[in-house]
Amino acid sequence: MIHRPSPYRQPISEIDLHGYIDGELSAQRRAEVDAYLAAHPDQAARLAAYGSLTLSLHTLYGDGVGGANRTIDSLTADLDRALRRRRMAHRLARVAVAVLVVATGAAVASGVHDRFRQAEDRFLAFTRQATEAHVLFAGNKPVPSDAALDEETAVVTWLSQRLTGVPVRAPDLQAFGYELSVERILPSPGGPAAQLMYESRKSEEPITLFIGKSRDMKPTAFTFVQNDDLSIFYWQEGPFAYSLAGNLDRMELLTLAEEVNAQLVALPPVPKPMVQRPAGESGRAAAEAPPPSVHGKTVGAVPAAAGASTVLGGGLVRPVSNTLDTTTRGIVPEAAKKPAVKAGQGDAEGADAPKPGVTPAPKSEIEAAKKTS
Amino acid sequence: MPDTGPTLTLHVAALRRYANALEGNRTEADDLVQECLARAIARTKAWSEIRNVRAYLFTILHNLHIDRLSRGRTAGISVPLESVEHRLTTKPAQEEGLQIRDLQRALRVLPDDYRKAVLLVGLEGMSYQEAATTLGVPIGTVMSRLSRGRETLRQLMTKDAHAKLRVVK
Repeated sequence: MIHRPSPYRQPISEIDLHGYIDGELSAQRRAEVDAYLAAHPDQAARLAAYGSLTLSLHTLYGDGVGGANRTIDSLTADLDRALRRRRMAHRLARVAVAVLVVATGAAVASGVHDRFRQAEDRFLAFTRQATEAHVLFAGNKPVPSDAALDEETAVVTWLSQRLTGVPVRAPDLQAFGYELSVERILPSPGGPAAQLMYESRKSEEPITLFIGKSRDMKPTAFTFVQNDDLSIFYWQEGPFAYSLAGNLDRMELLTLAEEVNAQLVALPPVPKPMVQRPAGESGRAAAEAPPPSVHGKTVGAVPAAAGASTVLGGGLVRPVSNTLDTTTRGIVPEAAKKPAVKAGQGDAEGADAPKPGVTPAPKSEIEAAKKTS
Repeated sequence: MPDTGPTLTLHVAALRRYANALEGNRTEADDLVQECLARAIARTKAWSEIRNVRAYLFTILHNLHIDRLSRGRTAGISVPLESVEHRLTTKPAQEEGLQIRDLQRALRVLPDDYRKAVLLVGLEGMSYQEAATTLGVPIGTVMSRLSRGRETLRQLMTKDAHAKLRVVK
């Protein structure tokens, strides 16, 4: 039987060797380390030495904790009582979270929900959203669009400008063989979030980066969640919350997560986008304003042949007859709607479409104008 | 129900064991654990966000440990390996448990951050993620400290053993 290396097969690193003795490797990676150790007796001996170090640690400190200590026992009892009180209060909150998950959960396997329900994490909603987006879109590759390649920084730049006033660029993962292939804005519990999909020439499996607004501006460590084959890291840094998901080995995904974090934190601001929203709009209008680049990009790029479809940021084609929620609707380019109207896809859409020769404007502004007239 | 009753008692036993390994002194260690528990009790109002009681207790313990170091109460200063090599290799032990004692001495000269990573993962059996949460550093940092810590310990002990062989001859 021929052994075909996986697309992500990488040289065995120091980290892998330690992960091996600490039980941190996936089954596949463990098998690879097994093979490596069989071929490298010197490394195997070194690992054995680490193993015996660990055993000695237990011999040295593992057994006794010293004699009884009354002060410590009494403090432990106090802490126990305090924790039980706390837990009662917490149980109510957990019920609320479970209700929320059940109420909003739709297309994702229940395993993901269970996982997050257990996690009780404050990123719960954000990460669930990211996972759903990954699961939904990862197997559904969009038609490649030249337009998508023109301004690959656009969506993140727009989002970061809106959230923080400081535009940043999308992380560049080309050094790891990943190309940015899709970018779009999706609704998330904390407002709009950027979804960036990266694809590798070496692999069928894309990875998805989700960037939204940090809830409390507090940086956190990388938190790891595994659901079947899907690995997810999420964390907060600066003004943003991130979630990186992919069918990758944990260590591989971590490397990418650290790279993303390093780039987004260290990056100097880039010049403002070419197309700017007019100043002085209300907060709600801003929330529904289309990302300027997507706007500009798609107007020129989508031919009338798009027919009864709208084209979202990265070129994902969706039927117009789908019910789009507010935020998604906000980024549908007006020019892309027009063919849909011609095809007789609903009067409401037609009423909102801009007249020929008029600069396309966001739906919210048109609605506002309608109400006043 | 996790983390109360017997489970909490186990956590506290682990805290004592770990503090002892960290401080190298049982009295100091229990002192540290008492202070840690007192602080944890005082903070239970903020516990709604705490998912992992064990990691949280260890985090408090670490912060206290660092406070003490900065107050200069203990001598846990990191020194380069080269400057302590001679100290480690001059006293050949003659009894059983020789390697264990070597390990104890090697641990004492290991930089604090490395020692914590080695002890949390090796002695307390924490996952890398749990150790990262406990120490408040990215998981990658835990992994590199663990790897450097173990390698430093191994080298210290190998050198120790070689020195003894020479003495025996």
